[in-house]
Amino acid sequence: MSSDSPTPASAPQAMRGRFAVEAVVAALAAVCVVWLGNWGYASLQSTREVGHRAQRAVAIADAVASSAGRDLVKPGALDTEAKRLLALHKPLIAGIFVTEQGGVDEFGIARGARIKWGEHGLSAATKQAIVNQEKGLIAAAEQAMRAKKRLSWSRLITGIDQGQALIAVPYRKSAASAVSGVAGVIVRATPAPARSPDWVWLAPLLAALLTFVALMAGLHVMAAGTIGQLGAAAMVIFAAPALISAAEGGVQILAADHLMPHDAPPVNAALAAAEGWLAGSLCVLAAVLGGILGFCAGLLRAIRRDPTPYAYVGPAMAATGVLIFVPFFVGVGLSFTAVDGTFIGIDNYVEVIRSLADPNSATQFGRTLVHTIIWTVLNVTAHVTIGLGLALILNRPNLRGRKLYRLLLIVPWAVPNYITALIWKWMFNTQYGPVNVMLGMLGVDTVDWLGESMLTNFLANLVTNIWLGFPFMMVISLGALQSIPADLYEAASIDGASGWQKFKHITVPLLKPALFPAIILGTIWTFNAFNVIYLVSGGGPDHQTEILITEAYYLFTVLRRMGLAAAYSVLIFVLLMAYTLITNKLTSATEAVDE
Amino acid sequence: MSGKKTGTDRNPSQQGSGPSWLPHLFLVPFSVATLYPVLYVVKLALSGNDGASASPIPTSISMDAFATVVGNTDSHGNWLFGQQLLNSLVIAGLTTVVGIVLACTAAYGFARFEFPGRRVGLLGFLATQMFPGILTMIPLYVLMQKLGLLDSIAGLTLVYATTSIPFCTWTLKGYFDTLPRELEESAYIDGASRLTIFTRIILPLSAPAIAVTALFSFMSAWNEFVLAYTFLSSEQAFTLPVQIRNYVGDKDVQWSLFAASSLLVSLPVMALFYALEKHLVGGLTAGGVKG
Repeated sequence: MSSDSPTPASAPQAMRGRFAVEAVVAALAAVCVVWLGNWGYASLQSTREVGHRAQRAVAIADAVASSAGRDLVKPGALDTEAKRLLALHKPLIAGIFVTEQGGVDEFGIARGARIKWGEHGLSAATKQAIVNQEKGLIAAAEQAMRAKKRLSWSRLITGIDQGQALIAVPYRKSAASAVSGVAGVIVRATPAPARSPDWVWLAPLLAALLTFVALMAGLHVMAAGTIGQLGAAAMVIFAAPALISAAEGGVQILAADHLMPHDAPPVNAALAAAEGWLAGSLCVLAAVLGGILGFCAGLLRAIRRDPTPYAYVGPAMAATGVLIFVPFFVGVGLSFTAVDGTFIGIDNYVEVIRSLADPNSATQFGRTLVHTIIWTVLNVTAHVTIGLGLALILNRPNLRGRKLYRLLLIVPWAVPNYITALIWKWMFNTQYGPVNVMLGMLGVDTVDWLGESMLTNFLANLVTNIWLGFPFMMVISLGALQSIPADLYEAASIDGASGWQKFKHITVPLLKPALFPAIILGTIWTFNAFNVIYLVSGGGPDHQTEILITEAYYLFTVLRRMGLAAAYSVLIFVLLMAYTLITNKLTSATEAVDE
Repeated sequence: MSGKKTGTDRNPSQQGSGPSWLPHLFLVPFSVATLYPVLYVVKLALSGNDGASASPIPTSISMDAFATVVGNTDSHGNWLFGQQLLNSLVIAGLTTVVGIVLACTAAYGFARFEFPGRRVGLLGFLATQMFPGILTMIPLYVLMQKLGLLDSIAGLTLVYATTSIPFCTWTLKGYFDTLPRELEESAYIDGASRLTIFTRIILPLSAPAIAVTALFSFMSAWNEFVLAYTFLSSEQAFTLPVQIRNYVGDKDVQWSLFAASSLLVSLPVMALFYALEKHLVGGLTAGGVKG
């Protein structure tokens, strides 16, 4: 590709350097934002929990108020009721009380408010605080009633024990009478809603910075090098789950807002916490929008300058974009969702990792990964050994029937591989399969190949895949062998090199450039050899011969766990990508050394 | 980069050593091993499953299995084999046409222009080859479900065509790169437009490469199993691979029908494969090594 790039090498180099800085800044900012978002999401969860508890507490307070209002004068009756409620809701409420409004007694002496009853679970300080502030409480309650709000929250009451909230409902003796007092419950310390960190005000700044960086990144990504492209891809991948959570979280906050009265203290605290979360989500949104806008702007600029290339490339790019890249990223997004489609962060990945330690888990990622690696290594080794061996033999001079042999030996490659798999399923058939028949001739008992033994299932898969895969390696090796100039060998012979020396110093180095890409390709194919596993052993017995891709398929089609299956696929992709990049680097490094 | 430059002129890696029958000692068993399962399928198709026997020679010759496979009808008397053959042909054909048209233009764009986004595009196309099929399968399944295309050949065609574009583009770009630019430049000087150059010079010159790429695209669509198996649920919409799989399904296993249908479906593509195999190797290594 270097031959047709007319620009001097220094310009892209500089561009690459500048972009590397942007990519690092963007990645750091993205990590911050995702962290902010996750933390906000946790606070939202606890908000919902708090709201839920608050609703239950209100219901209890309502019940107490209605009892007090019906003037169940006998304190004993209310006491029993209160004790019952307390016992029933012990984890939720710490105390119940009913106050009676102060007035003038029969002797004309002004009397302060008092707690009519309610020795249940209230500390002396709390009681005193309630009595002292009852006026304010009732005023607030009346105000709330006038405003047609059903209840009043005790924001006014101070001195309540740390972490407790008081919910008070006014009651009256009859529909016509004035407020007689309030009935209330003390709600136990709830899982404290996460509070905004003090530096939440940084979020808008971060958003601005990120937007700018993303805009620049988007503009440059058109011309940038690999690092920039990787950075951009990473940003999108990072941003996708956060975006999903942003959309969903927004809806939930609105819903919570509608359910809860506005001056509810737990909700207020949580809303304050959630504002940080919203800010975080906004950052991500800004970053993604900036990136997309920048990219589009860069693209438009390039198109306006010279539209011809884009006219040629555009349709294919658009088609692959819509039907390959979008599903790919949606798939990545799906890996962060639960069965019902709700966003659950990295829980699927956590489940995958947990399964490493739990032998009873539904998924067996660890076991399957080890099995897949063993499977791949054995297969590729066999493919290369057999393929290269046959190629060396076929390449011998004066070999009779070379063309015929080549024709016969690539038969397995020509057969569609789902058919190959089914043929071998027949070959390993317990009753009629030729493998068992031949073994029977040798005096071996019938083997139930695809039955209950993991080993025989594995062997059946292995034989099938070796049969299917070696011709590719053979053809590649043969092609490479035939392109080695004969005079190299002649010169070596003249210098007195032995056959082994010639193989080691001429054949192997010259085979490498052709063989390494073939091995990478073969490894990827074998790692994902869905048809063979699915059609021969079916992953059995009891999923012991599954490889990652068939297990993912099982999770998707049988268990209907799309999110988990997607997480599996993402991990497969990451593993293969890492393998390819590392191998490419290593092989080009060795080539550089060899030169 | 292709390994067939030297043509018929063989370049022995080693001087022949050992007796001349020695290579055959290795080659014959391997050839037998590759041929045996295939011959056994022929036997199954012709003589049915006649009990345990290791010989791959047909014991009797009967076309019953072929007749059953070809005459396969559903409960309403519709001719299923014809329908499924048509499905396979239409899907593979449309995939090829759509894929090749888009890939040709894209490959020319990548081969002859230097523009922002070229590298991203080429690398992106290469990366698609590494996406695990199931990762895109899940969203596509949901998408097709929403669009009502799940159990239809239209949906499958759309998916196949786009997945074939990247490979076709890389292969064709590799070929366009080898065409001398001087041809185009002289045409350009004579006043020909880009489009004229593309349609009048490049495409005719590349006809063999395009034909080969098209045939590969056809073959891979014809042989695709997993997506079809997952997306299609009614017999009327099946492609032939799904039907073949169903002959040896979990409930009833009909090995002779499997064998007969396998032969019908794979013999044409095997012939194609033998005709094109040399080009495939060139394409794979050229595309696989580096951009």
